[in-house]
Amino acid sequence: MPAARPIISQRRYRHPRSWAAVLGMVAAVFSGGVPFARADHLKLGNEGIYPPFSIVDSSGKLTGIEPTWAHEMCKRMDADCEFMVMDFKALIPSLLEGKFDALVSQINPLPERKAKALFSIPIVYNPDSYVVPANSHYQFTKEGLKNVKLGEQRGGADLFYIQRVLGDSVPIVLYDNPDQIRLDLLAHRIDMTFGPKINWTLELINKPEGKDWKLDGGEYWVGDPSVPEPERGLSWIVRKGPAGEALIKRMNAALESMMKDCTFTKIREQYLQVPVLAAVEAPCLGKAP
Amino acid sequence: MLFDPALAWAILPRMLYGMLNTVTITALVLVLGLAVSLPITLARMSPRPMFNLPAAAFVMFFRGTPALILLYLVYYGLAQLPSVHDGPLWLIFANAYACAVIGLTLNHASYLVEILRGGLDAVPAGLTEASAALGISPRQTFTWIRFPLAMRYALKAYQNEVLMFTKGTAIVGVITVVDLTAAANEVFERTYDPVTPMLGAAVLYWVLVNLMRIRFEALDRSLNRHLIADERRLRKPVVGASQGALARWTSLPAGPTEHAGTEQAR
Amino acid sequence: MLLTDSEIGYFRQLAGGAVITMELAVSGYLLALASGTVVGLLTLSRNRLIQAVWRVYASIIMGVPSLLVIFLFYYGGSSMLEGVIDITPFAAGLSALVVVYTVYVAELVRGAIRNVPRGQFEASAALAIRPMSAWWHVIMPQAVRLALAGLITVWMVVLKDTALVSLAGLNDLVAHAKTAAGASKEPFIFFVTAALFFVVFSAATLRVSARLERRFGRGLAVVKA
Repeated sequence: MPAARPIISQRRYRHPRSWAAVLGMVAAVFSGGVPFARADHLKLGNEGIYPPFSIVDSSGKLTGIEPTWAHEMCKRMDADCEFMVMDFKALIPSLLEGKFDALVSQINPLPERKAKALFSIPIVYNPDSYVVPANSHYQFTKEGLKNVKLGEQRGGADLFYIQRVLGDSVPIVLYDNPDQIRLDLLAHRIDMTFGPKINWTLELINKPEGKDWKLDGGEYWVGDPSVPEPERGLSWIVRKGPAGEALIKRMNAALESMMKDCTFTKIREQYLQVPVLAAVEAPCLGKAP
Repeated sequence: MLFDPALAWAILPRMLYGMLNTVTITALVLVLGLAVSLPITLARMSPRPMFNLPAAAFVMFFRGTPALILLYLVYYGLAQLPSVHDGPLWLIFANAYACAVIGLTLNHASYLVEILRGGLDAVPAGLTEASAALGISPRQTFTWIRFPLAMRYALKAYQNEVLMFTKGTAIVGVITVVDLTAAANEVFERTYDPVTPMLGAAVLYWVLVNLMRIRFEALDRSLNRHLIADERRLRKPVVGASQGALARWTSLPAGPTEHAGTEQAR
Repeated sequence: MLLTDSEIGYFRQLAGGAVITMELAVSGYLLALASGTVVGLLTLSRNRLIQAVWRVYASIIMGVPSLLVIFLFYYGGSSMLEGVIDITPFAAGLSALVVVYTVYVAELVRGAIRNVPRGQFEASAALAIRPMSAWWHVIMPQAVRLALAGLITVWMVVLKDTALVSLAGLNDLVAHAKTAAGASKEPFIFFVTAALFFVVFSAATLRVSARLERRFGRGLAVVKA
């Protein structure tokens, strides 16, 4: 190894300023977030890939029924809202970890979820169904579905329902979002999926590429079976605790007023032609927008 | 939230099932990676552009792309192409596990090419020249002199690459394969407890990686047993045990240059 | 092939994601460079405690996938630092990358300094150069030369590892490619685009490192096959 080498330009190594800049960056990164949400500033978590309820359109804008409802709710709560979009599997953990204040993607009430979070009044009734090839005749039992490959979304109530009902007899394939399930259904990597009827009807069955697919096996309520039938529905959720109690009360009030003056239904009609809450929406149906 | 030993115990079977997939994928990629990288290395080192340009492009693309994107591309991207989806290849690409092995093999092989090349380059010129002077054919020189030496020189870099890609298999869950990380994630998505399953998985990975490292070090000792006496005499102040860790990313592996340096100095 | 309006929209989102990817990669690399240098210098000390802490730290990082480190920082970090700071996906990814690559940079730095010939230290002492000056003007420049190629390649790896942070909810290039792939049902083109972004930057990096390799490899004979 040669011993003597010209000393590399000193300029580059002398400035302590660059270290200060680095330290500044550390400080900036860690102080960048708002530690506690102010009452009038709310962070809302949403899925982004759950049409027609939640869509990130090609310009990058978050739209769909739920974000539009949430905007309206924020207006009525006099709150300034900011959305955070992430995969469904990350939503509930992120809410519980305090990454945002309220989760405004429809959540099925499950006992283990109710133990951790507060649920709003139901905002949508969206039962599950099987999505199977149009020419198939499955028996939707453990035996009938033995070794049928079933695609499910990570962390979803439909997954937990299937695992409870069908156990290990069905190989379940897990995906990060429903779009990936659809890609693999169309590629025939999986035989079927079990998921929200409204979404699958609109996103697959009613589309040209969905002509070889059908819904089958009837409707399933995958939420807590102890909920009486008329009260069944999916909700938005917040963290437990006094702040959560107060927040969910304000959210419920805003949602109820939206339902009462039919804004709720009007927004829904921009994206979807069938009611999502029969009893609540009945008085609003047929009214000219 | 803190580590919950009861939960950790309850999920252990599922985690071990996931780990089994991690191990088999690693083993398959290891074997396939060697098989794929050998011809590409030779092509890469060939003076003919017809061979070395495609090989260089292969290395540049598969080494430059994050393995995560590579997996998405192999699994979702190729499925979209009619020639893949409607052809005989679909038998392979329909399977997520196979896609994971293919994607990771391409990535691993591209690193191996550079490591093997580094090892071959590190063989002192004098040895080849001496062989030529003795009338040994170039082919024999390669098979019996350059290649065995290169393997020994490249071992440290190879070890580091293998350990890196073993850890890198943690992403196969994104294309539906249930490996150790995916198993931990399943538990997390169900219990909303991130700490227990992920620390559990971290411990299992650590054990796996270190078992592999111990095997490699034994192999290294046995391959280089003739050097031990020399090294005691010649070695500079001990270089960190994991010093070669970065060899994955440098085309000149740390181990070989060190040996080569010693031999050239003599 | 002509692109539809919505595809152009998705490409625009990809470009936005690419900016985030670059921000994460650059800040992660610079911070890892800084802390790795400090840690690397510290580990040259003979202090038992420092050595022990360093061994444990390096062993954990080298034995655990960086994806798990990112997940633990993002999900586990919030519960440990409840209310203290808000761990966004960016902050979690950045801290995880820094914690992981500090080890690799430190390894390079200590390796480089140990490989600076002993005579350099002795000669500096013999010429009565003050120790601080000797470090700054004699040892460091040589160590930088030895570590340079490795440091450049760490950059390449950090850049590629940012892709993992998309799995902890960062809306970077990869996350946008995933969304666009699903929504447009055109996964191939979006994933290829994302791959090419990384390939171009890696190729640029490789050119730099090839030049350095040539420069520092002068005088070594190369075997012709």
